[in-house]
Amino acid sequence: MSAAAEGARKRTGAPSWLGPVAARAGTLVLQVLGVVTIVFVLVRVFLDNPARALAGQNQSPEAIAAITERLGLDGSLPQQFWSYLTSLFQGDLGDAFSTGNPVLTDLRERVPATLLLITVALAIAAVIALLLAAAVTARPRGLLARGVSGYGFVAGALPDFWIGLALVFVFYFQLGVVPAPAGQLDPAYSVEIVTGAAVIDALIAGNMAAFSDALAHMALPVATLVLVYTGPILRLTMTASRSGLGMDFVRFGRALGLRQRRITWYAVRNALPTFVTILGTTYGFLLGGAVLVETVFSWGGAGQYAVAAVQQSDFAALQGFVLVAGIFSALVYLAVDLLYYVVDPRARA
Amino acid sequence: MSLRELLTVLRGDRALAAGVVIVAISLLLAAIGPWIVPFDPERATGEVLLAPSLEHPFGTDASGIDVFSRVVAGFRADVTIAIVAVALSLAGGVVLGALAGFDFRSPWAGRGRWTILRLADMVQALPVFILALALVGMTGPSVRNVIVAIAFVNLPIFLRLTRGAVLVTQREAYVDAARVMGLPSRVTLRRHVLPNSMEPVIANASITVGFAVLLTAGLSFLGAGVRPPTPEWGATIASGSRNLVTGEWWISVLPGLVLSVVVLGFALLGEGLRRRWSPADRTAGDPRLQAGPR
Repeated sequence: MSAAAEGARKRTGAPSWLGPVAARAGTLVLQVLGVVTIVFVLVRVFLDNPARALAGQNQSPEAIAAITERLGLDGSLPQQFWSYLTSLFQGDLGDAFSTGNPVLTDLRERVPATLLLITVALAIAAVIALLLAAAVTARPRGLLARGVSGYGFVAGALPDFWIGLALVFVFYFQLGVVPAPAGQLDPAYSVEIVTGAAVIDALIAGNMAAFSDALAHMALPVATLVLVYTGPILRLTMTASRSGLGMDFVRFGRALGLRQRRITWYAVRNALPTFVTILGTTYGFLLGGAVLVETVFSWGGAGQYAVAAVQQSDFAALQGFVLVAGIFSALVYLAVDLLYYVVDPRARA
Repeated sequence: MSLRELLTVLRGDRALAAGVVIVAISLLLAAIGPWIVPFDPERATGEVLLAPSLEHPFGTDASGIDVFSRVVAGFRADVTIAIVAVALSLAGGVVLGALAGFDFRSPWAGRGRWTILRLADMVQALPVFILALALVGMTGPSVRNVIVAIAFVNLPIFLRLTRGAVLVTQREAYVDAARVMGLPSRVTLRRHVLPNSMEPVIANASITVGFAVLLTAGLSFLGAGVRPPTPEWGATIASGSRNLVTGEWWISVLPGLVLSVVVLGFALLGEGLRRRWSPADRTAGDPRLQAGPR
């Protein structure tokens, strides 16, 4: 959270929470500018000649000169930054030589597949984590509580790509209940690509056979992400709701003779701000963090695009992806801060 | 602390003890692993895709290399990279964090603090894995570049931890005493504030080493880290993924198991230290202070 938003929150103190929300949304612009700036700086620090790198395989002097001019690389640093900004605002992220398309087009085709994967996985992880945290809070010393805290700790240490491979071995090779880990849809089905996420495209086309095949393809990658990322969400939520159990309002509730269920709910409610924060952090991380799982299942999303870009030194594509990922996580953090007003009454005061 | 005291502590905290043992073995194997392997980890034995046996505990891979030897020798790459990278970001983070937290009583200090914190914000706005991948991608896959990338993405964590601890420590009476005695700010910071602000930083360093191992293996899994033939876990897991769908599970599964145990060991050690040093830790719930969201 930015200091400006915090300050605004403290000063207004008015019943209307619109002011601070607007202030917080305003900082989004600054954050995005920050992301843009750091990408600009990193490219210039780590590449001797961005034009040569961006030219890719077409290393003719004319091509390099053209890019140098288009990016304004012959100008001073502030001039360069300005021309970089203006081309960004025109939606020009450059061309990816690995696919031959503008980077923006490539990303538009691939980001939805990744978004679908991580959104479904995170939603399932969130529900499981919240239910388990509530169960543990109801019986903090039970057997379940021990098992759950053990899982919460271990899951965070597991390499997701390794879990994915292990699941492929068990459920594809041994049990044969899921399709091979190759893409989002069996090539036997032809579905018109609208969003780039096969499950949604099949629904749009009204092709139910393709839809269920796409769901089957999605099962293991989602299960992998859920297995690994439920752990840390669960652990932090559990810690927060347990600490809620020791707070005065819970003791007061007990003294009043409230039912155990009600008390558990109050304690879990105390954990909601933590829960929302860790959900947001995980979501922001996953757009890029799912690259390994995407690679294991040849998912063909934005993450795999970034990996291919790194492997082929396709800097325009890489730069474009880092930008999109940065903007995405800035948006997620904004959503998290706004959700605070919903789940935490103290933030509204 | 004497050896006897250490043993008493470890007996009372099994999780910490497990962490200490795993970390000790990891460090030992990082030092001598490549010298004690039963087979050459870079040369084929001639027997391809053997299942685990007494002679080859982890089997052999598609080119006939003994997987167990690759895993044991792989401690050197993964653990060393992680430790060096975390040491670098620890050093940088402590210096910047001290500058961003300590009250220097100088008109310039405020602006410096603001700049450092906003820079940390910017770096942390980018997803960790992608930032590391992009850095290695731009500089080329080599051990040195992987170390630099991992050090860079973890630096803000140590910066924030140090700053947080310094903000608390400098309110202590002995710091006021040092100031009143006329000690220069630099000396007060170095001799009195920093040494008393290191506990949360060091506890976290151990956890971060675990995640740095995970990051190294992840990058190498994608071919953007340590390249074969150098023995490394992520690359070994990747090489075995082709055989997994035909049933030869050991090439990927067993190295991944070792990798998980090592990451867990460093996390157990770090959490154990944190438990001992600050029983009621307020930073535990702040995701900005953790390596990755995990």
